[in-house]
Amino acid sequence: MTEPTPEEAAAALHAVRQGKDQVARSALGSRRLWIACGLALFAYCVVIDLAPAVGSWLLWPFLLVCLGLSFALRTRTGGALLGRRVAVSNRSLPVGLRWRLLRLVPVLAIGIVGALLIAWLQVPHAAIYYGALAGLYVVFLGPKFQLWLLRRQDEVSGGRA
Amino acid sequence: MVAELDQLLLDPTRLAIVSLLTAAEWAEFGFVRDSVGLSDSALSKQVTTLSKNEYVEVRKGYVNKRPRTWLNLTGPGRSALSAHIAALQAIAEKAKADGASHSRG
Repeated sequence: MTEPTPEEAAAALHAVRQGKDQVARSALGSRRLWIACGLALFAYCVVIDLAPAVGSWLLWPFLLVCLGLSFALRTRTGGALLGRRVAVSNRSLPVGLRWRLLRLVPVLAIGIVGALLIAWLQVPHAAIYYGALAGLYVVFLGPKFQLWLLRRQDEVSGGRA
Repeated sequence: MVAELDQLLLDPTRLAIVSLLTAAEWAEFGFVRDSVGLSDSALSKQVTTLSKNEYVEVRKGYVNKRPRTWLNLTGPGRSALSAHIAALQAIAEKAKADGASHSRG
């Protein structure tokens, strides 16, 4: 077996890093999917505000669709149907408990601050503003946050190869 | 250190394929082909070599009546890549340490 030169070894390590990063980027899915999720969240909040009676029975179907989508994206057939060509491995990017919790921090922080503001200001049609805020978060910050998190997980797991 | 280098992964194309798959639970054949920049037949040949050595598992199926192929890295493939990366890091770090000691001398 021929031992690679230090330059060849460095190039190979760079290729490994690039491969992992490529998967992390692709795992974000299509932009359209994020936009659809943001719009769905906004639409749900609009329905809650304008038709509270409908909103109360819409909660469970909405949650079931969210769960179904997240499950489908992990499967090969579901992923193919939703346009996802790759799924990030949890084995190669082991997520520590603190990173699992960290994933929720921005969502929780925005949710709490938004809810407090709405309660304090007694804004009419508050759920619509709340939905718009949450929808914008999902559309614009969701993919960036997920990519940042995937890269951080890789560093934490010692995958700096 | 050299003993940990994997003969199969010394090939840059195979290393690129396995590196992609190590971060993935599964990946479509087309995704790997486009990412590595190979033709269907060239990737197929490399995948056959990797699957014969039990580094890569190939699954075939149909979505909307269209055939699909998915690839994923096996446990032995993952272990082989980890050992290979460790050996490459050792080579790179040794060269860095040698360079530092030469510059001091």
